Amino acid sequence: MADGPQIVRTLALAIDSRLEEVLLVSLAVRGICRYTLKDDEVPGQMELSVVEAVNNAIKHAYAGQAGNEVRVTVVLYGDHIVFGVSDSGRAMSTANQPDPKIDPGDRNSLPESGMGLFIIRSAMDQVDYRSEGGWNTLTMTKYFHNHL
Amino acid sequence: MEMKTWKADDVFVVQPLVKRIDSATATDFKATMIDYINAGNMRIVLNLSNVEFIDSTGLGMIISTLKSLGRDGIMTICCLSDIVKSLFSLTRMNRLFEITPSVEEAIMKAQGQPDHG
Repeated sequence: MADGPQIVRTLALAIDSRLEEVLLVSLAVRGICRYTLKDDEVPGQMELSVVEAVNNAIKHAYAGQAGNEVRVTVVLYGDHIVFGVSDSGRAMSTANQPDPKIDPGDRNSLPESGMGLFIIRSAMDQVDYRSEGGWNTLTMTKYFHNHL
Repeated sequence: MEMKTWKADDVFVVQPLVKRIDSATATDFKATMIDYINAGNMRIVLNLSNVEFIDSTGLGMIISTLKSLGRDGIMTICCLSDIVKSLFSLTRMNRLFEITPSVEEAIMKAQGQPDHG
C-alpha cells in the first residue's frame, strides 16, 4: 500500500465572530499562499475562498453575533493545501444550494448576495461540509498541479 | 468611505482610497456610491487602483450600484489587482461590466467612445 501524502506544515487560527476580524485570516492565508505558490492568480483565489467561508460562518452560522469562535486551519502537503473553517453555530442548510443565475443582459436579475459558496466551488478542487461534535466544518482542498 | 473623485467632462471618476471592499466595509461603500448617483452622476468610472481585495459582499454592492444607475446609467471599472480580476472572472461578472486596464480607457468607454486601433 502506498504511503499517504506527507504533512508538511499545519497552522491553526481562531478569531472572534466579527467581520472586522476576517482581515487577520485573510492576511495570514495570503502570506502562506504567496510564499508557497509562484502562480499569481491561485493564491488570490484561495484567500478569497477562505474569506468567503469565514464570512458565511459569521453571518449565517452565528447570525452576525460577536462573541463566538471561528476556527481556521491550514494544512500544507507536498502537492496540495487544505483549509478548514469551523463554527459551532447553526449548520449550513445551503451547502447544496444551486449556483446563482447570471444573465449579463438583465441587470435587475443579477445577484447581490449568495455568491460565496459559488466562488468557493469554482476556485477549489474539492469542497466538503460536515457537522460533528457540535462543530460545522467546511473543508476546501486545492491541488497545486502546475502552480508551484 | 474615503474616496477621491473628479469629473472628466460628464464622467464622474470615483477612486476608493481603501485597500479592501469587503463584508466589513461594503455597506459604507454602497452608501457613498448612492450619494454620488443621487447627486446626478449617471456616467461613473470606478477606479480600483488602490483596492487590493474585494469579496462577494463588496462585489454585491458594486452590482447594487450598477442597478441603482438604471437603464440609462453607465459604470465602467478600471485598474484591477490580480485578486480582484479573479473575483470578477470566477463570478463571471467580467461579462457584465466594462473593465479596462487604465482610467483613460474607462473614461472613454463611459463617454460611449469606441476603442482605438
